[in-house]
Amino acid sequence: MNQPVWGGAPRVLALTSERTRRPLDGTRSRLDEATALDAAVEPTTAPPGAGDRRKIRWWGHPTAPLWVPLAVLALWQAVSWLAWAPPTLLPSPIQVAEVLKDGALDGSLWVNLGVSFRRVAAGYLLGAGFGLAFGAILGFSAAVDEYVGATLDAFQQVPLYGWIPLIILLVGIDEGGKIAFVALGSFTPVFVNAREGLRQVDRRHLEVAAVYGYGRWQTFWRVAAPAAAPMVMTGLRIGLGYAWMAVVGAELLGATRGVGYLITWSRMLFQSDGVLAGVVLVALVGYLLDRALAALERRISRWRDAHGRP
Amino acid sequence: MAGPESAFSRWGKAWIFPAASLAVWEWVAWERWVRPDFLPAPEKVLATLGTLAASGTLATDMEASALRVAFGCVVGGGLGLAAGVALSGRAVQRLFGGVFHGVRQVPLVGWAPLMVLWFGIGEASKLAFMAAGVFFPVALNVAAGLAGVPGELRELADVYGLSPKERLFQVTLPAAVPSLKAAAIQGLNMAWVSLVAAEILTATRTGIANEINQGRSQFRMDLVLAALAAVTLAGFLCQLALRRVWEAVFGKYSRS
Repeated sequence: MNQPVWGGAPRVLALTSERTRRPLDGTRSRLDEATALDAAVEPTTAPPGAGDRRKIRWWGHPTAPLWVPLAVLALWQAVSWLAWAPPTLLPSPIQVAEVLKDGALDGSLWVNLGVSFRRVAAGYLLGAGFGLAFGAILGFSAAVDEYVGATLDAFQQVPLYGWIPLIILLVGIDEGGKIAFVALGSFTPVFVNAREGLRQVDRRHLEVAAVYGYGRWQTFWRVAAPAAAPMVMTGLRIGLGYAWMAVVGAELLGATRGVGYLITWSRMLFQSDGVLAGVVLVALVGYLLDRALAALERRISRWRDAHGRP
Repeated sequence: MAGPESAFSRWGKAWIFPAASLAVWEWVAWERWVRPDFLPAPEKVLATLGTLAASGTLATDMEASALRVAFGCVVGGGLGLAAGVALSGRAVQRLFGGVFHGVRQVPLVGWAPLMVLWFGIGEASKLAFMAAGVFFPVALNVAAGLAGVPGELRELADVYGLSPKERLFQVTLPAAVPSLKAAAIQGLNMAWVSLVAAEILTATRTGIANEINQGRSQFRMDLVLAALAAVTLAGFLCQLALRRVWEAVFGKYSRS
């Protein structure tokens, strides 16, 4: 019964360009890849010729976004049928889908996904929790930021994967090390966005809060936090993506279970279809996680709009 | 109150925390509360960095890594720029956007096993990995910037009957410069992140991030920390240089 999910995979991926999302403005961190994507996607969301009175082009056909992905899949399959490329280098899409199907049916896929998810959950809770706490304190209190902000900025300059050997030495390569790495990966975007979101809270609103005699606690929860919520959500979304990337990276380096391990294991056995299936699985799960949090983010933005924007 | 507070006192505040941390670190290492192979004294890390530099290892490593970064930036950035320009067109975006955004879902580390599969474990797979890492943020931001030129400005350009060249330099570029800058900054950042990932995730004998891995396998925390500091500093200096060069070349577009 799980098979349609895999069978439908390329179609789901192909439709990513069709989704409509309003870009969140005001994100100026270097992590706002997601925002850039939304802006890039924007032109397709309007039907061609809707805004301008030009005639409908051939590429404006409703099924047009599917043509090239389907052609690529067909070509990919043809390459293996005609034996243009050795299957050890490029297994056919059908082979890849069958690996995923077999894994889903014999349960190995779900077991390893479950292991990876547990690591992501533990690491993300830690990393995002610390990110929210640090971001809240530094974003809300300029005084604290002056003392420790620059130091935390300096730490973010360290490339993420550079931490792996350090963590392996300190914590070990087993469960604790992987969770620590996931936490580290998700910390940065959550922290950066929470701090930036709170910094950008309208000064006038804070002044109004002061006039109403709000205390610090009340000002934070009733004025600053709601205003920063959309940016915090973006940070949480990017952070979850980083957490997923981090767990796969950690599992590629050394693991006996997990999605990254599936890839390593296939590579050791020179099963290229297994490697490709693992990569597709990683991409698909990452995409679904992102969509899930984006849906949550939209809900929160809607709630904010109901209260009125400045 | 904020007026007479000089830049010096702000800088001073920023230094208190690192200085205190360093002092605590030194103290803990001095008293040997933590095993020295877990937490080497700060001066030990510095000495290791000095040894690396003096023996010429640092220069060799940096050269190998810099070449990889340069390749990633030139090939990945060039292809990303081309793809971004193409994808900013509505027809191309509509037809090829699905494939682009589908492939984009593969996270950076997912490319490592694929590249090893296709290009072997040698230098070629690392270079391909780096190019893939740089490609996506550059393509995304360039496409966003070019597609995001406001429709009113385009109509205005039509009304004035601007030539394609005038249109590029007076309308498109000024509107797209912030996104192009984001493309350059994220691309370069990704190049260093991919470098470290490539040198750590795939077996290698050269490169600065390789020294971090060497330090781990030899249980030498001082080497890990020294190499980590070196690669971080190198990436940071690259970013500073990029911002300088960008300001010099495109500064006139961003001040409007």
